Amino acid sequence: MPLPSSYLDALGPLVEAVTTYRDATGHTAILVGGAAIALHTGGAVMSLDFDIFAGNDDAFELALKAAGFVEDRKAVHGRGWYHPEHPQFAVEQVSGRYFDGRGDRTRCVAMSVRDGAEIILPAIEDMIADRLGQHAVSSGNEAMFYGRRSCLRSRRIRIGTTSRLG
Amino acid sequence: MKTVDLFEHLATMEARWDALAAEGKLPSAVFCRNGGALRTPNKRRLLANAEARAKAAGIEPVPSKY
Repeated sequence: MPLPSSYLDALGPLVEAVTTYRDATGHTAILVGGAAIALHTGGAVMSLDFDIFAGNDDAFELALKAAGFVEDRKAVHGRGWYHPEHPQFAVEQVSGRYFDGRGDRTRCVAMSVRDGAEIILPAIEDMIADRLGQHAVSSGNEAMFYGRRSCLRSRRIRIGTTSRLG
Repeated sequence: MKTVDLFEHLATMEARWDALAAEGKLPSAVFCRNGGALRTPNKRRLLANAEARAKAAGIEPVPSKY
């Protein structure tokens, strides 16, 4: 279940925006949510949107525009974007604190895409914690459970299953 | 911060998933999907717009529930 080439193509402009943002602010933007799981797991769980946490939303907005992204004006609150060359995907800026202040940014993983350009992902442990948290909140949304299990399996971590979901 | 090559990582993952498939231990892709019931209105709109853009462009939409 490899990631489709269209997915990797769509990642290109986003990496460009992340690099521009880093060069402009000295900070890293981090890909979170389902897209981070898609990359961590090599496509086991796909996502059509890229959730990005940048910290400085205004600066990241400028970086997105510079990379050719267009604001999705039909979205309710703004902060939604897409790239005209990859219209089947969406980008959403995630506001607030990184994993509500519970994530460890020092343990993030930089995935090198090409010379000097990389996409930053949360540590796999933070992704698992996030999925577990969402699973608990959603009180039985099995997608969250399987997202966590996919992360663990991709890293050869053996787990049991709950009697209800196993 | 640890740095890995994206394409090497993806190759490693693909091999890992192949091995899991051979062992019959892959979770069903159907169960891996986010059911979408708890998405925010903004996220629903964002995903719906992406699907509409894909269809308008003659591209197969990425499966998503919203």
